[in-house]
Amino acid sequence: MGEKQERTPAEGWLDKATAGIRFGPDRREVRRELEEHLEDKALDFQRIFPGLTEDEAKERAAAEMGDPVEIGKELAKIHRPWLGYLWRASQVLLGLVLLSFLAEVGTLAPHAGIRSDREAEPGWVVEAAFAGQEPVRINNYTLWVEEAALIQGMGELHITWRAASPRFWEMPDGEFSQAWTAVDDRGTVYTSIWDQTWDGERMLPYVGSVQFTGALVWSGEQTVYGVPQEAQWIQINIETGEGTIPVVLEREETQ
Amino acid sequence: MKLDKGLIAGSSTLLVLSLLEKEDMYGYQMITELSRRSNDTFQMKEGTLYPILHALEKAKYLSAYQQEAPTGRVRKYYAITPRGRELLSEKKAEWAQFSHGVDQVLSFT
Repeated sequence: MGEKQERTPAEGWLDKATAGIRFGPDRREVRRELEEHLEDKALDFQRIFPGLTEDEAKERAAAEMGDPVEIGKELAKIHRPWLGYLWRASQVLLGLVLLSFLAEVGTLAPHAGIRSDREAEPGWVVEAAFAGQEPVRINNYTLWVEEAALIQGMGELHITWRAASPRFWEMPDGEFSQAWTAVDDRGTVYTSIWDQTWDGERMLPYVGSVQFTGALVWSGEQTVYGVPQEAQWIQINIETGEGTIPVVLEREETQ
Repeated sequence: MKLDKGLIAGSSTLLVLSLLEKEDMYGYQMITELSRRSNDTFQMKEGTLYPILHALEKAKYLSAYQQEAPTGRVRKYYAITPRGRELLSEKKAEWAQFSHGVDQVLSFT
C-alpha cells in the first residue's frame, strides 16, 4: 500500500476521504473499511469488464464512489476527535502519574524530606549542612546519606537516608534499622532510648529511629536531637545485629 | 428510473435499518442489495451510506464487527441493536403516515 512511490488514484481517494478524521486509530479503521469497499467494487467491475486491469478497475471504482472531499467532510463530522483525544489524554495522564510515582520513590528526583520539612516550618534556618562519606554496605543493602541539616537553635540534625538493594521490593526496615546510636566530636553519646530524651529542661542527646518509605530505592528520615550548634562531625553507629557500622557526617564549610 | 438525491437522503436511515432487520451486512453488500431489491431504483452513494452507518453505530443503533465475508475477505459487518429496532419501527410508522398523506393528496380529485 504505502510502498509504492506514487499514490494510485484509488489510494488518493481513500486519503482524501479520511483526511478529516483527526484521531489516528479511527482514521485507520475507516480507511480500511472504505478500502475493502473499493476493492469489492473494483472486483465487480472486473467481472463485468474482464479487460480492465486491477488498477484501472480500482480507479473507476474510486471515481464512482463520489467526491472524496465531500464524503470526507461528512465522516469528519461524525468522527469528532474529542473522545479519541480524551482517551489519549487519559493515557498521558496515567503515564505522568506513573512517572511522578517513580520520581518520588526512585532516583529520578531528589527526595523532598528535609526540604519539605523546612517548607512546612518556614521559621527553620539551617545552621549547617552535614555530608556523609562513601555509601556503606549493610547486609544486602547499600546505604548512604542524601542530605543532613542542622537546624538553628533547636539542636536537631535532620538526616535523609537512602537504601538500595538487588532485592528492591523488600523494605530495609528491620534489616538493620534497629537502635542506632551516635557520638559527636566532643564525645557526647547519643542514646537511642526514648525514656532518656528529656531531663525536665532540655532535650538530651538522642537518635530517633529511622523509618524507610518508598519502593525500589528506599528513603528514610531520621532526627538526631541535642546536637550543639558548633558540632563538627557526628558519627552514627548503625546496629546490624552482626556488628556496628559507623557513618560519619561531617560539617560542610559554610559561606 | 433514478430518484432525486434529496428524496433518498430523507429516507436512507429507514432503508439502512430495514436492510439490517433480517441479516448483518457490510457496506458494499448493502449498496448492492438495496439496488437489487429496488430494481435499481435506489443507487445509494458511498458518501450517503457510510456517514449514516457510522452515525448510527456511534449512537448505538447499530453494532459492528469484523468477519470474513463469503468472498474470503474480512469485512466490517453491521448488525441492528434492540435500540435500532425501536428506531426502525418509529421510522416505519413515520414513513407509513407520510406516504399515506402523499397518496391522499395525489388521489384527491
